[in-house]
Amino acid sequence: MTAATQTRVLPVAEPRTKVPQSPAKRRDWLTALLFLAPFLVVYLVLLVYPLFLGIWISFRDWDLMGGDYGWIGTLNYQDLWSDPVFWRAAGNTLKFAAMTVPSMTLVALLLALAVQGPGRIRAVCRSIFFLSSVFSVTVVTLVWAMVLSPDRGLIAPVVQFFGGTPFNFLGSPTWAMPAIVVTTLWWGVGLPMALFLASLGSIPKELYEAAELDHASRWSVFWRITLPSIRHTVVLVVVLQIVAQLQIFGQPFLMTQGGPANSTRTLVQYIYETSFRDWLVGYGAAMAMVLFVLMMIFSMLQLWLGRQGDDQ
Amino acid sequence: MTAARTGWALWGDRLLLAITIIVAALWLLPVIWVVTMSLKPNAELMRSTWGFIPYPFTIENYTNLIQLATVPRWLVNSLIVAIGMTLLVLTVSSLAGYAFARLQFPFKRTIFALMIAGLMIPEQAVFLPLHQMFADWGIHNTHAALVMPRVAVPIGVFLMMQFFRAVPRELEEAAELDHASRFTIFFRIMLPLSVPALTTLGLFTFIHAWNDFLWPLVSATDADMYTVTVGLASIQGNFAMSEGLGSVMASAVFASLPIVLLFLIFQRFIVAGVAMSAGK
Amino acid sequence: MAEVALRGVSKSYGNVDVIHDVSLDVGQGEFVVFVGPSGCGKSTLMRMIAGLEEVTRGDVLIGGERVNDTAARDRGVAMVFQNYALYPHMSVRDNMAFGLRNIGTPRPEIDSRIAKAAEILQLDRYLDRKPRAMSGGQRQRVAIGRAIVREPKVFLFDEPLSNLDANLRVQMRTEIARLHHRLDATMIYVTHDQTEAMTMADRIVVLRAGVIEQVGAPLDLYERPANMFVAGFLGAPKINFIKGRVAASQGNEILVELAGGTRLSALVRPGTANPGDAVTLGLRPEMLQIALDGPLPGRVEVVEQLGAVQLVYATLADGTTMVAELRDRRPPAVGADVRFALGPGIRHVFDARELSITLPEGDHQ
Ligand SMILES: Nc1ncnc2c1ncn2[C@@H]1O[C@H](COP(=O)(O)OP(=O)(O)O)[C@@H](O)[C@H]1O
Ligand SMILES: [Mg+2]
Repeated sequence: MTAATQTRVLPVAEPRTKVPQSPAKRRDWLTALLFLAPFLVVYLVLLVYPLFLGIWISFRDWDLMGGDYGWIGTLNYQDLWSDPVFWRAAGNTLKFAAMTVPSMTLVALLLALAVQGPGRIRAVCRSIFFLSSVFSVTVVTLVWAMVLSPDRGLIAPVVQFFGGTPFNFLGSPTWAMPAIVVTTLWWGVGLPMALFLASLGSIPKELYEAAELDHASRWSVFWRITLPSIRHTVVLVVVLQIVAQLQIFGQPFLMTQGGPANSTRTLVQYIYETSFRDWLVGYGAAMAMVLFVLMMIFSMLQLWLGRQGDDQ
Repeated sequence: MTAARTGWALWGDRLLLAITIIVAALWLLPVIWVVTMSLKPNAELMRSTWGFIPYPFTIENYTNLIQLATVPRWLVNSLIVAIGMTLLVLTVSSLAGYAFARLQFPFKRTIFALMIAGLMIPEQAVFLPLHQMFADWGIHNTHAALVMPRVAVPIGVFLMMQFFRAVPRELEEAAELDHASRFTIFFRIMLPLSVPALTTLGLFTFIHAWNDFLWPLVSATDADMYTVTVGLASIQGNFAMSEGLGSVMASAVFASLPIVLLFLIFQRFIVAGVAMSAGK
Repeated sequence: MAEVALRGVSKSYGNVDVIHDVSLDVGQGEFVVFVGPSGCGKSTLMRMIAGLEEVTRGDVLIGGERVNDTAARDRGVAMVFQNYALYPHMSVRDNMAFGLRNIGTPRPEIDSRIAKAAEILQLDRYLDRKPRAMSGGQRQRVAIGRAIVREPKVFLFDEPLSNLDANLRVQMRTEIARLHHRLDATMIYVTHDQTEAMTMADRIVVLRAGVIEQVGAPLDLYERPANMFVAGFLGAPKINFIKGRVAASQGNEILVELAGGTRLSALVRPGTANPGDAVTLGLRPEMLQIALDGPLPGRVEVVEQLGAVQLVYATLADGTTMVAELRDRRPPAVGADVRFALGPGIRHVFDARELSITLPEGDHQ
């Protein structure tokens, strides 16, 4: 090897020329298209197109068998405005969400705190609390309708034992909704609990050890360390729950059929009934759009809150 | 909080655990009760539904169920729909997820943003138009009709994309130098590596499919095409509170068995999945 | 003819230039090491040769052919990555066979190549293991094995030893050197470790901020660094730089006055230094000795006893820290005032632009 010693050559500034598209790169596009095609097709045909079709239908007089009686402008939406059942259903839906979301979040957090950590017993408890969320809504409502039944249920005998009179929760306009909330809690707490568990598990151990050395009480450890560390998860859970609970349908539909006295009829049930019982698909579609916008607002809220979290 | 505790703190821990155990037991009680009832004769249940020990004991409710053939038929429908949906979602999501994670193509950002926007479209916004479309195509009351609307789920694409992004780039570069084509890289390297992610996504899809209610309710109107979830709803109203209580409970247990088994076997993947989706 | 050639190669990410106009020839069978601080563009340069990174400007030639638009897989190069990049779900055997299967090599041929590579790298016993069940050194060997079986025209190594512990690093260093002799293949090796560069290279390419500072045989660069960067980068402990001013010059010889009044003579290229010019002296630690009548006074700060040698760190009159490598079992005590003398060796002189003006040949006394 010759010991050629070359010294530093300073770069000459010259305008950068754009490299022409190589054949290799074009082949890559084609590959990407093949990978994307299945998703794009189903996505466009089964989600995007129906969305726009739904908007279109909501401006038409359209019945269940596809009968299209023409463009009626915003008439469906105007009807909604003056439909007391719609307002009742929307009110019920919001009320249901307002009752379920805070209690669900709180219960999920409490359970997560109780079952986090090592040991077989806690692991089994974790499984039990999650297990109920794999059942279908039909099974859950069947179980809870039985549990709450005034003559054959699980609660009635306990009430009787203490000298009370069994009470028909699902038959009471006041208590039907809370009963459905309890059912929903039992059914749905698994996922938010698991989210909290994941979040609790990722808090660095050193934080707790440092607090211990500082003689912090359990209470102050929770307020000063645990809660601040999982606040993003709290926001996530709340928003996910709002969006999920606004869609409530199965529980009241199967447990109370919306009764008694419309006290548990929700938006989705009303959309379902309007479209499939009364055949007014155009009207149902208009309602669906209102629900969609409502949920969209909360989804946006999540994105926005998520971004807030990233900033700091 | 692993440090050793002493005195009051220790007793506090024990008390907390005891309360947790009691709550968990109460949580499980309705399930045990339902299983108990499904193992009692209907005549006994007419007298009293109380009790958590199946005595007098019978498996008649289950044998009737199987002979009746409607519930097994619904179960088969559910299995076909859930398995089909799972396979399709995994295929579509992993392919597209890989493209978003690692391939370069025009309008990538735009297409990605469109997909993310799709995350916000709820089932309720599209189920009426879908119902009309499927009616036009004449495919209601088929398994395909039950599967198709759920294949277009951006969340699956998103999860797979997240997973593929976490695979070291060098692995693919090494494969590229090893003469692997894009397809070889995907099928021989990336897919085998993503088995845990695929399992998680598959489990969630399966559970979701199994418990789907609104869409099968409006699409499958023929009792032969019911899934168990819809089928159970149809018998629940008819004779739930009457003489056939034991049979109804047996159907509920029967319908839940596959999903509960799946849950018990694959628990850790579900937990991993929650952690994964919470990570982003 | 050069096996690998770079002709005015540049690379930009957006409007950030990371490689500037690099030209280089690597001969058939040569072992060339790219060395430079972290982030200077070594990996980028290597990845452009491999075809994993597009070239913004200039040409890459392999075996005389321009390969800018040739896909990585068709360039006939094999690469060993810093993190090994082994396929985790495949056994060692399958890891090595993967590339061969992809080009349809017949089964017996694959088997014999794997057997040969396994023998060279002492992997015979591990062929059916998964990478996760192996130690770092073994994984590294598998990564090298995967490259060997392909029988590439050019081997590329990107910091292959930086994830290994010190002992293993030394061992693998000699193994790779042995492999090079045995295979007689062209190898390009990236490292930020000057020891690896000095011990393994036929030729070293020193990079800084995307620019080649100097190319040459290890000893060449050590003895004739083109500038202060190269002088400072090669050699451990690091060369001592002492600022001074030219007090007098006569022909090739100059007299450099340091802070504190010490004057040292040095040889420079004619006409490169005039009296009054600011210069920097470069003195390698091994040419410094302690002597009662030495010209350079200093105070001992730290003494590192390494057994064979002792490193004495001292502060000079102007506050510069200087290190001397002594072979005296009884070094001075910390805090002692000592005087350093200059033994035989090159006294490097750098001008105000940090370029070397040292006289290249002739005797330096
Ligand atoms: N994909 C990229 N986009 C932007 N800058 C990059 C990219 N890859 C590398 N760089 C920059 O290029 C420079 C050289 O990187 P690299 O070649 O990896 O350095 P080295 O291997 O010498 O440590 C670094 O400053 C790095 O930040
Ligand atoms: Mg590097």
